[in-house]
Amino acid sequence: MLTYILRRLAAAIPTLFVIVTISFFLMRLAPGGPFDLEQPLEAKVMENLRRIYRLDEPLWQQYLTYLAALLRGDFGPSFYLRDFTINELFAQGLPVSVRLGASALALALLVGGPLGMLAAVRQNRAADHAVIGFATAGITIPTFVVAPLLQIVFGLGLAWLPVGGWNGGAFRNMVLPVVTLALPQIAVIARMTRAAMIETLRANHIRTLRAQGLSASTIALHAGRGAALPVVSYLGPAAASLLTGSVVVETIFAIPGIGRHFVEGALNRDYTLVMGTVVVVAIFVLAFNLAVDVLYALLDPRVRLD
Amino acid sequence: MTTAPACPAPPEGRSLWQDAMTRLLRNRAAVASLALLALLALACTIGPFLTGHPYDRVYQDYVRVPASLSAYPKAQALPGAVQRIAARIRATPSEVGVAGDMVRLVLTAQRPIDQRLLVYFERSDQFGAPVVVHSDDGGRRLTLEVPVKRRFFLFGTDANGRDLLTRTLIAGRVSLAIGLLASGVALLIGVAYGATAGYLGGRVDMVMMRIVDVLYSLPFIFFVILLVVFFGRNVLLMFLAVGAIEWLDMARIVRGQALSIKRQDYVLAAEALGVSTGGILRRHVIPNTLGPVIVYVTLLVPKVILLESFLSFLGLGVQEPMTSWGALISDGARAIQATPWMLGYPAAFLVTTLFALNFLGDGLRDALDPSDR
Repeated sequence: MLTYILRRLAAAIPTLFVIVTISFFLMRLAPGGPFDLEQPLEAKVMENLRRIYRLDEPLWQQYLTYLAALLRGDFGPSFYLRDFTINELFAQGLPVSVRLGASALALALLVGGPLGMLAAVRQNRAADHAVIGFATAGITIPTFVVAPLLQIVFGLGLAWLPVGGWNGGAFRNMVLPVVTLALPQIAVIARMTRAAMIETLRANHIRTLRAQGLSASTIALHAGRGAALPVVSYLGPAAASLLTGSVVVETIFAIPGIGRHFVEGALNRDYTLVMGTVVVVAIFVLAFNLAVDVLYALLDPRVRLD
Repeated sequence: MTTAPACPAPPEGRSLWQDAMTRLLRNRAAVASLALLALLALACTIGPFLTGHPYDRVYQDYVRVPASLSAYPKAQALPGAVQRIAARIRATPSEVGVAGDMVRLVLTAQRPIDQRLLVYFERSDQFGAPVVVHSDDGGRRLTLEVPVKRRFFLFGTDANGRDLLTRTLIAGRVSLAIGLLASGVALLIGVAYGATAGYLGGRVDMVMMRIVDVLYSLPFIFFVILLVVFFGRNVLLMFLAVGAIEWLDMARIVRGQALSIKRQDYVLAAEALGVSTGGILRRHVIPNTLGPVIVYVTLLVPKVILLESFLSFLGLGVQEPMTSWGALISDGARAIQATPWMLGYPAAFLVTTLFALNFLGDGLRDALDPSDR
């Protein structure tokens, strides 16, 4: 197991390297630059700026400089938010996004899993149809419709919860964003659990349990373990994208996470910021894929890691 | 001569596709979704010609009017409208009477009224050309008959005074076209790539799939935003490119299928007969992967439509005066309290479409893979 994890980590390094290289050159290929304003800067000012940020060097040299800095864990200075380094921006934003995403993920698992199991046990009955309907709605209604609706109902109408803001992660402030973020995930998880559970309920080992006269809840628990497998493999990429922030939710609820850095960074040609977010997301994706594979082996004794 | 014994007609065989069709038609939700989608597509294609409003026509007098089944202007709004226009002509209206589609009124002023100013009536969106019935007091007192222009805004109007029904239908055209286009591109690339990788196998497969893995770890939104930066606001190009990104899942699915298909006897037979690799791919591998692929495409279309709406929400999607469901919804979501209809109607259209596509996808999956039910 340990050698497997180490080997996977070693294999992740070239992948990460390729990702960094591709996105570095893609970003530089994009027309425009970080210092292009509506009124062009004076030539001399521009020249100085470019020299300070080392944009006047040949591209391959900039690439090597960036790579060397990255190896030391230095993401460089932000080109647009000029008072901050990328490391500072992430130090502020990443904990917020991770906390938000982790809460949403936990909520999605706690609600979506049982809902899916319930639907599978009661297949083709009222409860099943209700869950399916809810799940389809959760997938189809965009977040940016749900979020304002929640704001209006719970924020303005009932005045139970604040409409936005982070407030240091107070519980009251987290409820609406977490629910908004979790709803589509609840839907997907419920659907996947249901489909997988229906399949496992027909498996031979479950029939044996039935024949032994075990109670329905015990059977559901045993089937649940088998049904968790596809859900776990879905959770890898989902967790990575949730933890690294959701642009829409962070925008609507005015939450200082790193989700919005993506959009702003790319639009402002903030090269280092975009590169930083790409690297962080890629690391999350790779780490969670590894975690999923390990979890897979723990859940399913038939899976052998080699 | 002996007559051959009458040969009974051979039993009619049913192909996999006919079987699937029968099962699909038995699924009521899927059939209803299919009908609904056809209806929506039809409405979005020919609807904008029938509403009587161009999608980019601005009605300055009807900004943010709520949805209504009866015609605008409303009877109670007429005196106010007359008052405003009369003020521009510098006259006072009196004896305003509404009779059917005609308003009768008397304009009085200190000085003779310049009849050229009556054009203000025509310029407003509510009235037609006025007819002077009487002119008394040397032109200081005019009796007018002004026709009222009846207009219907079944879904209300937006913040610029444009008909929301027309815009919703036009937006549907854009959203559906984008969804189909991007899915089509993803389908072509994904199937070709996946089938090649799976069928050839070995080292080629490994390299091709590693490329997919790398692309997979790149944040999707980074790609999309870069595409926006590259292609500017050309929506069509952008969504060709989005399709060119969305093929990754498709390639994986098709590869998995191809891996099992290539061990089938009929492929071996084709190989033994000396059919070329391309021929085997086209004739045997790709057609047999189509079941899961069709299911995936039905689920990809709503995904792309949602993606487009997400981009429009960020202001990176379709640009004014063109519009899409996502653009309309994000406009509506910003003014949800004052003008709920601006969110409600486009959102209802979008959600209905996505619902129908999802149900259709589920129905297709059940139909093409009966073991899964």
